[in-house]
Amino acid sequence: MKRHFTYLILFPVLLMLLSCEEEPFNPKTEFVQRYILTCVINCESDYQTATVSASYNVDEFDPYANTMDPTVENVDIRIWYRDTVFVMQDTVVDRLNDERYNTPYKYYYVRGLEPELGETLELEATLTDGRKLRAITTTSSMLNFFFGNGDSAIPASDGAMLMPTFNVYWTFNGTVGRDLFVPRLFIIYDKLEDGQRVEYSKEVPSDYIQNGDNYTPIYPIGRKNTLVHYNTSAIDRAMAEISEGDSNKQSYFIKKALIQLFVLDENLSSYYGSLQLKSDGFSVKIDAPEYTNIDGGLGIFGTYNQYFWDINILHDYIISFGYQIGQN
Amino acid sequence: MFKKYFILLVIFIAITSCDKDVSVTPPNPRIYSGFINIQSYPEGAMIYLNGRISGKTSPDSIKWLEEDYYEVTLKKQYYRDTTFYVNVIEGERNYLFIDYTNNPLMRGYIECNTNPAGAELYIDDSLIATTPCVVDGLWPGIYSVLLKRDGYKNTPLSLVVMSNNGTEANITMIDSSKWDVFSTVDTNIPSDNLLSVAAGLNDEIWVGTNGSGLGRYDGSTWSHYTKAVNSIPSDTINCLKFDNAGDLWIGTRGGLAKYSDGSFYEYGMNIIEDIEVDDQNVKWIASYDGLTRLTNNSMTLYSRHNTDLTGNRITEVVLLPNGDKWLGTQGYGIVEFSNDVMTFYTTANTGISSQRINSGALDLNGDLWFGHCPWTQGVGGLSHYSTANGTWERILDIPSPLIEWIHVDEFNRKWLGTGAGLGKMETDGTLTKYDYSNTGILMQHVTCIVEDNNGDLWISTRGAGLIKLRKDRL
Repeated sequence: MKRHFTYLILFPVLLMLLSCEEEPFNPKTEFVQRYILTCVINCESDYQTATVSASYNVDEFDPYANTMDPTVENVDIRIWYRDTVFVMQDTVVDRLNDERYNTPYKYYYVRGLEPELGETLELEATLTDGRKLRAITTTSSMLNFFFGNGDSAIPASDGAMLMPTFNVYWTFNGTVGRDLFVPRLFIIYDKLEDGQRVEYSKEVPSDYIQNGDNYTPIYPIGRKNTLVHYNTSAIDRAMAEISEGDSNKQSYFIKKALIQLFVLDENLSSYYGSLQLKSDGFSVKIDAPEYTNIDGGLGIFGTYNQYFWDINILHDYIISFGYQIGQN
Repeated sequence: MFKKYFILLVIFIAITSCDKDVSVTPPNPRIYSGFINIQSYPEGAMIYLNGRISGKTSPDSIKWLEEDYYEVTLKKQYYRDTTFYVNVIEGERNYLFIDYTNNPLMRGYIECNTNPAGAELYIDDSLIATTPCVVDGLWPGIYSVLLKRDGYKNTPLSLVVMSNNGTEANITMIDSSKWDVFSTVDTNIPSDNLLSVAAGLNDEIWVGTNGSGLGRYDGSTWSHYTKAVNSIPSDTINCLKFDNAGDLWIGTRGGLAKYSDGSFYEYGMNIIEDIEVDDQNVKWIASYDGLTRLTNNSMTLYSRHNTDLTGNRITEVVLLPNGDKWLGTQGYGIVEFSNDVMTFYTTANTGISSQRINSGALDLNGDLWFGHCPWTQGVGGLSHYSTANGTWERILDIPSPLIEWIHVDEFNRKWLGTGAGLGKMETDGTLTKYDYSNTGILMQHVTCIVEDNNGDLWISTRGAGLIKLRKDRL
């Protein structure tokens, strides 16, 4: 009896060990071709673009081994807005030299589509084999948007002392928490080149992380709340970087600061959130899209608006860097 | 017993031990092959599928449809919509042809009445009927129609005919023995949007446009002068006036200019509203700077800085034989300017209907007439000042409360340029209105009226070009 129990234990263990011996594990499943549609509508423009590409397979695991342009041609892309349908045309532009494909960049475009706030857009892309990619999105519905209650000049102060942060607030009428805000702060300046003033802009991070002698900029990421803080020390560093390595500070004319605020609609917000477009150097960046609103494929169909706000830069502050005042 | 359990255990382990939790890619959506090809006569109908515009026009195909019933609607401009249903089955191709001509309801008609009746109606150079008439059985579209009648100006029309609908055209034909019209339709006049007109001693006519510069008509051809090419301060010409030497004075939104011996000369100043010339060839300029007295060698400005004027915006000057000036202003009434003394006439002390003055004139009895502009503090209309009695009369029973111009003819009749056509006021106050209904001319807004050496009136309009009226035949 005891021997029977010994067999009863040993045999299954042996069976389990041997029975699963098969070919090595392969993380790649059977390849199924997918189509990726990307169409991000700029609501302040009447010129819109889209791309359609196909997923591809490579022999090993390096996606860059593929040198065939995955862009899909001859796709019939239509966008319905109110009672009008816009049919996209296809075109090509030359690629930059350092890109991996040696064929022109192909994309689709349409003119005359400039959707207003709170409007629904429907997209349908029909591939030559009849495959359809469909999506619906609704533009941001916020009304009476304005910047206010924040600091009105750089650097921020309470009248007596400099404040540690420069704060930008905005407000609007609409559903809070639906749309995502992506703020960017620029310093607009001219540089004297061959006797001519040429305009440049310098993007200001919200902070820098110091690692030895190196400073890594941290730019604001998308947010649901309606404010953004910039460390005064980060603005100082950005101002200094404008002329870094150039001893002739007087050839720089600082004109103003400019807030550019992207407002992403609900779909684009979700997509942005899944990609986390701006790396802060610490977060894990996910290359494969976690979110899509394309029915029948992958990708994104979304819209965004932009708002701008000029901010004065105090003259004393400009002069303290050795720069000239660009405008009154 | 043991053997039985042992076998069962071995089978269970064999089945379950190699289970792996592997995620698999979901299958691609199915591709449908439904197909509809739609053709129509005539072609070019927009195809709607289930009420949604497809962006495709016939002939075209809609492919890759799911198996279902589809509502297809064809929409073509001027035609009735045509809707039908298609049962789309996988693998079958549906070919549809819609012939609009098979449906009699697709046709429309033109009903044309003219004043006077008896005009010949031509379509594409073919005589179709004599008015009044109904031309039916027409396919939808735009028709070029020409009306002809002896003694009247040929009247071209562009009429839209829609399915199962009549297009009614009630046309007053222009009596060419009385009226001539100079418009961009059939002449080289610079614009139909005119603000001013002047008649020269040598029978040439000048027009000032609203943004398109100056035009000169020598009786046969038009010449065009603009700021870009000539020395004119602005292309918006508010007023024109010939002086006693035959030079043309040009009041623009950008200042004053003169045309003399084929050349233009600029004189600066602000927006010019009116120019008058007295017996001594002195120019009196009403502008947004005030009133300017301009001689060959001097310029004197009368403004709120050196007179009792309460504002600088002078819009009208009326010169009296005794040297007095009456001024119209923009917002503070009428000013009598006599021997350097200013007397103010306002709604408060005279009852005039508005303090904004657009026009003024002296009649043959020495009475003064002022045309008003309606605005929030005044109804507009006409004001009459009797110099004999020193009384003011308000006249509101006129075609429009906006009076842009007053011209007094040799019979002491007042010709009124109004916001709703031309008015003629007899000496007994009887008023006749001339507009499209009795002239055939679309003169909604008359801006200026002058009389040439032959006694004919030249009338500038906003939108209808320049009109010549042989007033003795009216």
